[in-house]
Amino acid sequence: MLVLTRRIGERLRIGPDVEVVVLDVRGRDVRLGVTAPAHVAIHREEIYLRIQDANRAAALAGQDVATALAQAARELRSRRPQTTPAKEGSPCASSSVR
Amino acid sequence: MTILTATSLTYRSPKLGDVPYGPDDVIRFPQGLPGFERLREFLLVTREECAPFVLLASLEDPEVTLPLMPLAAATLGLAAPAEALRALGHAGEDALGYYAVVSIGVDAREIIANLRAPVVVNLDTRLGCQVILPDETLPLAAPLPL
Repeated sequence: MLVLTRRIGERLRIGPDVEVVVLDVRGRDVRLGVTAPAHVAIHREEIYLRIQDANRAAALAGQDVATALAQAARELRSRRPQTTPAKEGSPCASSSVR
Repeated sequence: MTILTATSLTYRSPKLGDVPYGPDDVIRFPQGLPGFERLREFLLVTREECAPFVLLASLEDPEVTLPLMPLAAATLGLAAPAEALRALGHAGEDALGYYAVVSIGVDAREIIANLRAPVVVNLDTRLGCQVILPDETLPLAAPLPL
């Protein structure tokens, strides 16, 4: 790992277009500013790791994901308050009307 | 008479069977997704029996299929920062689709949605990304229904 000492207001360049500036140091907290192109995503590591875990868990959800998802869809419908069905004889009640 | 047909491709998935698709159906994630950073090209697969859920299926690794649920982003007050969406190109008013990644537990009893990091797709440019929203109060594991 490259280790560098920087003072408040000093910067780092990472590659041609990423810039990191030390904005403030207070006790154990360091405030950093990062400038990078739009395609470079910047995240706090701990939140990024949690999203990674959540995505991997979602992808693993069952070897048979289509069946699990259909089951979840039925479960979801059963939990949702039922929408009122159209009354008999009302214009929308018959599915054959086009 | 000439009949033009869109190039028809087949996505062979061990999980979903054969899914026919056209080149215009592919959604590109230039940065991949957290946990799947190397995967770039996906299909949104819809199945009637799975509604309202849809599946985000990797073209490069057919083992990777993420269940998603469309979000009414405006209703939920979700808005990705403009700089996070710049990589998706210009988006018309209705072009951006927001989806929550959904985890399904054993027996589909537990269904949870990640509201902190929605998948956003620009349906005009067919580009997508997963945005980590700055609002720290948004749950990573919200039980469904919302």
